[in-house]
Amino acid sequence: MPTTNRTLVPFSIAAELEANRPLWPAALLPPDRVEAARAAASALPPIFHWVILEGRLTGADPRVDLMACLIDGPGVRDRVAAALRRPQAPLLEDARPLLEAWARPAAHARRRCMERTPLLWLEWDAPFDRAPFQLPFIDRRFWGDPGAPAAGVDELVAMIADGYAATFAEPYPDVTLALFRRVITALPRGARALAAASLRPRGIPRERLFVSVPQPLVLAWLDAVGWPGERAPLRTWLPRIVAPWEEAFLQIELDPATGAVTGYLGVEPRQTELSLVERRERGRLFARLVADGLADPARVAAIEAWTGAPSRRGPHRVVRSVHLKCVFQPAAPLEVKAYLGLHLRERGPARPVARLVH
Amino acid sequence: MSWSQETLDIMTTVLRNSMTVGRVVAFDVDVDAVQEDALPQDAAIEAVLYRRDGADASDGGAIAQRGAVARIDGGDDGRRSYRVSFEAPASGDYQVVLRWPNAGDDRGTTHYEALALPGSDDGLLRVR
Repeated sequence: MPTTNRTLVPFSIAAELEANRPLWPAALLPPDRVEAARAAASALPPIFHWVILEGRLTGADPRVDLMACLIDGPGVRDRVAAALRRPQAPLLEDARPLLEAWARPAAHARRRCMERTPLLWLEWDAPFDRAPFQLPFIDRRFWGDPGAPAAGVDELVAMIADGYAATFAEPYPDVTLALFRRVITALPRGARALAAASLRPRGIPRERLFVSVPQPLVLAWLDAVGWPGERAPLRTWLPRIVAPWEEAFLQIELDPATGAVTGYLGVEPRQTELSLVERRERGRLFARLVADGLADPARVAAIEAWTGAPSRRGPHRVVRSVHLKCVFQPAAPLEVKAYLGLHLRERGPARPVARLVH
Repeated sequence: MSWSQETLDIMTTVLRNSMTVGRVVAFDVDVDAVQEDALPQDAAIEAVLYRRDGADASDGGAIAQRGAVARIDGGDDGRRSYRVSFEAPASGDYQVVLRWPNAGDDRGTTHYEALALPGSDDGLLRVR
């Protein structure tokens, strides 16, 4: 278990949304929408490690969606199991099958998959009246055990199959698993398959796959899997979104009905705690979005304000996070979503990986 | 690798991150073990310059140059020091990146660190 996970502190989502009420930037996250998310989360147990409010940097949609995650660590699964012994609010009950399988993998038919799942994300879309999008990760080395053997394609596909079965109590059709296998097999050296989930809770009969791919290899992989989207805007924007030395975090959608990849593509730069270099690169992207009329400066400033807010409060270190997702879809302008979040860590010195000697 | 006075002077200049003219640009970097990760093998560390201004950057930030990485102390299990050097590149703004393979990952994934050079508000290496 990596040290980073040991220092995470579980918390009440509603309490943290409330405690940070003055800091959620109104230009990006309208206060009434934040309050709706807080109210929806008020019945959730204090078991989560990360909360995110999702707003839109582009367009006019004022929606604010809610996301939370569970990260494996000492005592985490026991806490989830204890919470599930009681009836929970619909927000959580709708995810009970997956959560129970993860909390008590030894008692579950999908034991191996659930034991190796390092984290789960749940995403509730406003107005919070339907089951969450449930995203089990399949890469043990990502936020899990960095020393674990890298999974091969067979194991990854088996984990995707088991995650779906644990969530929906029915198996994926063979054609869907074959589609997952095809696109994962096509990943280039240096890439990773991270997570997969069905869009079924949103009423969409498609599957979403999350991967990381070295930025210079993104277009080649999309060609290899038959992504049908337009290349020109992606060629323009990809180097603005993800620096050439970084991994691009991609989301593609698979349509089992056609056996093909759809035109949807989400591109995220590395989720960041904001080093100087990362802030500079993000600033370059913001400048281009504003210059091209896709984002207004007030919403950009709102993001900057969030990450510039004080990082310490009470007995724990509050780590504020921002990540962006740029969505390419057929016949639609580039959409950029902003995910403002926080997690709590036990206080302690952070050690850099590499630093210049002064 | 030997280091002439000229090189050391240039190194000092680079650490101030001001204009640099000369044969080599160089600086020292500590690589720390974070969490419980193993330190990389010396020979596995790669230093790369990426152009971050002008047409090259807008065209995707082409790799401008691969540098040399040399161990400069014995280190221990938790930290090692390296001298990173590049033949002085053409005038421009550059991002310095260290990269090494993730231990035990046969998929070829790498760990990367984009270094923020001191002396500027954006961390870029500026060569004029």
